[in-house]
Amino acid sequence: MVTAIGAHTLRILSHPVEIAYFFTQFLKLLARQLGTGRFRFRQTVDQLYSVGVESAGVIFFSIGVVSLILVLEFSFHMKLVLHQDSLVPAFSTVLLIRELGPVVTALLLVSRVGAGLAAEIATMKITDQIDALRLLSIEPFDYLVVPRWIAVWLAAVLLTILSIGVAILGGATIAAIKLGYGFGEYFNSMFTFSHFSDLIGCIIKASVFGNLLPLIACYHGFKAKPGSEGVGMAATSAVVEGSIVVILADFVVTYLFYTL
Amino acid sequence: MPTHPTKEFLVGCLVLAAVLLMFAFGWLMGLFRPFTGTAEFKVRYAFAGGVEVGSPVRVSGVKVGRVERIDFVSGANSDETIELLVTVGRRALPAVRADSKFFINMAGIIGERYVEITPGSGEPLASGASVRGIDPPRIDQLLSQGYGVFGRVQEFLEQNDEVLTEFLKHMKSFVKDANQYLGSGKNRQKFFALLENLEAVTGDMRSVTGGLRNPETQRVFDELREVIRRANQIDEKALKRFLQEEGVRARIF
Repeated sequence: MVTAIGAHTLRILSHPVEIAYFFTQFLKLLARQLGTGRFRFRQTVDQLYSVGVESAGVIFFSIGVVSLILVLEFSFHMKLVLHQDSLVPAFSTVLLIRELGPVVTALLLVSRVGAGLAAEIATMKITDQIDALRLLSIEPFDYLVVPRWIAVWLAAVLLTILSIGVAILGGATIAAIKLGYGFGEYFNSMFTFSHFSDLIGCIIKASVFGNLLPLIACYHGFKAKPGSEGVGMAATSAVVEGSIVVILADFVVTYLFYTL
Repeated sequence: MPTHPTKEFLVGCLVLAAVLLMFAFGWLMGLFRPFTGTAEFKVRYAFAGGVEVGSPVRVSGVKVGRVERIDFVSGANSDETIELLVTVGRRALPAVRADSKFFINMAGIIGERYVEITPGSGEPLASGASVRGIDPPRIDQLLSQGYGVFGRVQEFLEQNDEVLTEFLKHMKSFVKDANQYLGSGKNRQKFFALLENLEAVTGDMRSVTGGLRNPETQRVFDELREVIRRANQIDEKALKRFLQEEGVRARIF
């Protein structure tokens, strides 16, 4: 029993250490790519297309629906407490910029991209494609992880900015249809409480999430156990761990950026 | 443009759209204004009343600018400690004149602070001009002072509880007696007769004092004042000697 406890403890402790090692490897290889001028531009653009462009539809649809709910709920609560809802545009926009935009985008990316990345790399591992790359003198980490990492990072930031725009449009539309706001009225008052520093904070959050997501997904892909079950477990672990890490990171960044 | 968008084209669209949206947000949030000219004014206050950087500036209730900066200053006028740098859009400049007033007001259900500029009729105010704003009321101080006054009243009431109770008891008794006294018809008639007499007396007094308010009476008073002034200048010893010599034995001195 003591041995089991010890083994379990070591496994728990080794996990963050391995991820940190993974991260340092990424930085080292990225620096080497940039230093030698052998940046894998083609692979990065392919991944950016796969992660950014192909995820855009699902993210914009989801955040659009979230913004509709947000405006209706804000209106309900403000009418409940203040007996009027004139501040709905301002409150919903500030919440979108500071929280919902980056977090919803990151969680959707975790579900779509995180699982995909982990499954893809895990499949390559169990079918010995990674070993084949090594035989061809191609560093797998350099070839597989770095382009994906940069693509997810960029995609997270770009999609977050665009998703805020889509959410604002969605909010303005539902406010015009249901709450009797004019579009001009909505756009005039939506930035009452928002400052550009909030947008900077939002981009920092998206950037942090965009770094954590490929880190966890690729880590689980490389650590996948043999067999189809191993691929499934890698994808599941990437999504579960990625979602938890995004929420924890959101708290940490919010605390550091907005309260200190 | 390719007939079938390539991956590079679509990725480029994604990047371009995000960059354009960032510029749009920056513009809408007032970070920069590439298409509109603004003028800057320095407005000094003794008390800023909660206005912040980014607070709106309105002319006749229309939002035309924002508070760009708040500085602490120490100038010739010691009460002016705050200087706001406010920007006003070009379209509102004709309304901002030398005699315009710069108030700090409160709007909305959550008390958002803003600078309200009232349109003037004097010379147009040049960009960069420094003006004195109208300080907002110190509601906090008023409340604080009111709290102090009410505290002292409460303390007085608590310390003099017995005295006040006694006083009120007597007052109640007095009102009761007065009510009883005036309740009978005879007393009521006497009371009203008394009031009538009082009214007649005050009327007479008014007539007398009215009679005194004429130039002749004024002259008499002036002469009397002059006599008193001269009497004050008479040497006390000389007057005593004079009275003694004249045989006046009254114990004046």
